[in-house]
Amino acid sequence: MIPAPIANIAAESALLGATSERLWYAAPLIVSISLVYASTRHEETGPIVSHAARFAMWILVFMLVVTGVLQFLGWMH
Amino acid sequence: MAKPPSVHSAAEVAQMFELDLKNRALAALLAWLLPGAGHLYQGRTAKGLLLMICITTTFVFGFYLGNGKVAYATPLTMDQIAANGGGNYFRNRLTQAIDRWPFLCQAGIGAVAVPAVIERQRFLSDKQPLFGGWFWPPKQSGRDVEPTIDSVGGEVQHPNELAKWNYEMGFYFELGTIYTVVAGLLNILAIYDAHSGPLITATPARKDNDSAGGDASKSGDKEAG
Repeated sequence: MIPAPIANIAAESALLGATSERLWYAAPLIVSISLVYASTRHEETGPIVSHAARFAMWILVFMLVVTGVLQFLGWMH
Repeated sequence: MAKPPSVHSAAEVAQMFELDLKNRALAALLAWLLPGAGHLYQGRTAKGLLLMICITTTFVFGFYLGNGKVAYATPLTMDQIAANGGGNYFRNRLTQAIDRWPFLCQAGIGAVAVPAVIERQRFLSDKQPLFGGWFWPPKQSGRDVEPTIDSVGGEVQHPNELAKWNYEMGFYFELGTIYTVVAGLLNILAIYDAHSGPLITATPARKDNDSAGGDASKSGDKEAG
């Protein structure tokens, strides 16, 4: 018999997996937003690309943290 | 306590990066009409192409996901709002804007805003669409909307055409709206850049460092690279 909390985590992970296909639609947006934002801070291509890469990482980390918090809240519920 | 950073003026930025911003108002207008066009006019080719590709691709992809129906101006008229117990002029205008708020963001791209406004006027004048249904607002009465045939052959009636689009496209209607909204908002950044150059902030120097100059800690390519 699987303990209830573990079963809940497994069910939520499965749900996240089912919706993760939709999360791929965020990738082009992250790339586009990062590049445009960085290009409004620099003039040369090199600094634009490096700033965009850092900014994209920040967005990804932010999304992961929010996902983690939501998962945790769902698990607590 | 440190003062908040201030933004360099366009003249300072132009001097810093040795930019010729040319006619800044014209550059901003071109940037609004077509993403990246203002930068191309100023001779900032690489940046102009980057902005054009990023913003245009984002918009076109969203427009494609939304089946060409996600960018339109509200069909709601001031008369309709007044007839439904509207308030004063500004409140009614606000109601009109909120009715299709994504368009306020999408209108950051002139190539979207102009045809959408034209199509709205034609829609309200009972004329035919000019762009094959793109930018055409949804019919507001359910009587004019054809029902959807669902997977088991049943007829699904809709209260208006927007409800039909949401029913038929579901997630992709929302996704297309988000993509086109983001593209419009990103172009506002591009317009600013075309008008005033890169947004460089300058932190005022501390009092004990005044002799070293007022913008010692500015960030930008000159310092970064």
